[in-house]
Amino acid sequence: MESLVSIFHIDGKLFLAQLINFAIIFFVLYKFAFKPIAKIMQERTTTIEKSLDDAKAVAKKLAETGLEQTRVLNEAKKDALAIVEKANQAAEVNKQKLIEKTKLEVAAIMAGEKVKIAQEKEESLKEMKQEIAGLVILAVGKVIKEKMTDDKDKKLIAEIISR
Amino acid sequence: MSASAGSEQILHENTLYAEPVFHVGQFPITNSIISSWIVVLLVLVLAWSLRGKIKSVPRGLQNGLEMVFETFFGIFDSITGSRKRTLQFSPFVMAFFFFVLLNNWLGLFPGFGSIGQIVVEDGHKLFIPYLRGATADLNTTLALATIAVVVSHIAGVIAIGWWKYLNRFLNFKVLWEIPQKVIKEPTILLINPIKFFVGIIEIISELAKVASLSFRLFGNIFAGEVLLASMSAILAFGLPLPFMFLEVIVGLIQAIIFAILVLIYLHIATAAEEH
Repeated sequence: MESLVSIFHIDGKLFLAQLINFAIIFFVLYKFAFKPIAKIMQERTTTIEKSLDDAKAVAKKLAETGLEQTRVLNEAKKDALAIVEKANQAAEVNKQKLIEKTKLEVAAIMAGEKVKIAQEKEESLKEMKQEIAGLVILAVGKVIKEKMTDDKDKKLIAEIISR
Repeated sequence: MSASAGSEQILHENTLYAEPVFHVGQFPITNSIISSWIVVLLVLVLAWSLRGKIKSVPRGLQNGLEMVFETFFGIFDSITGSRKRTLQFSPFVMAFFFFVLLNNWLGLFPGFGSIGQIVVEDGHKLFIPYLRGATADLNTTLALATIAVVVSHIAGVIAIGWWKYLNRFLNFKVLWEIPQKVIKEPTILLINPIKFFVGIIEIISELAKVASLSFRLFGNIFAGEVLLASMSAILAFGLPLPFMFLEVIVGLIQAIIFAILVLIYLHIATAAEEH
């Protein structure tokens, strides 16, 4: 031990001085470098982790919103289709009703016309019969040169025509 | 200066110890303590330049320090196994790293060991350099190793309590177990004395820790200085360059080894282990 001290010149005072040097280095590094930098590094880690989490949350929310959007859109489309369908049906019903009504009107008109035509025909037939009767009377009068009494005459003509 | 004195050889040797350049009272100011004061000054200046400049967005020196810290945190985590313990120990361990590293590298600067004064001692002319790498002086490395080991013991006592910690070295617990359990298991009569002696061996190993820490660092750095001096003596131009690079790497590696060993001692001392 003695030789160790003398060979390497171990000196209590120098030893102590180096202890103090190290202590200074330790405190200075700890106070001015290590502590603030470690703190900042920790804070940065926390911030970055938080940002990443936030970004993830935002992405998730976006995806959810997209899904919601499609869902709403699909629903709206369905609704629109339903509305159009309903409108079509209503229109169809209205059309049918209109057609029915028109048909009835037309039928009514046609029935009226038929009756009118039949009446006209009858009347014209009657007129024609009378005219023909007149003509026949004239012709027969001329032919037989003899006037018959009105009653006989008429009876005769009626018989001829109805034959 | 007389002719006979001029022809005398100036002794230019690498001493194992740091030579005192001058004395202040009883206090010898050695060349190694001057350079360690330079290191302290350097650290103070760097710390001063960092003051109030620690920002969330790192710049310059802070960037470099963060890189170093981050690298060390990774290494330390693999030793301590938890980031919490790493953060507890790292200020202390990194102080060792920076102090040793700066001293190692400062010793490589030109002027170290080459600029000095000539002193006449016992009729010989001795060359005494003004500056010497502080880690090439056993006083420095011994002081560092002593702090490391002492602090590891203090940390151990704080972490697991003084009684438990004392029992690691002077294992009274196992001695006390002998009369209690000897009837149930007689083998305890043989095992527990061995356990007690293992504890005593631990005391020796603690002393060995101081010796191994201090002599490893001192030996490596001193050998580097001798190597560089020898190479310069052979050919001063170019030849020492590769060795200079080697010494730069050695300085870094020794600083890392020192720091990591300190961390391991701290970790072992504070771990609540059971053999």
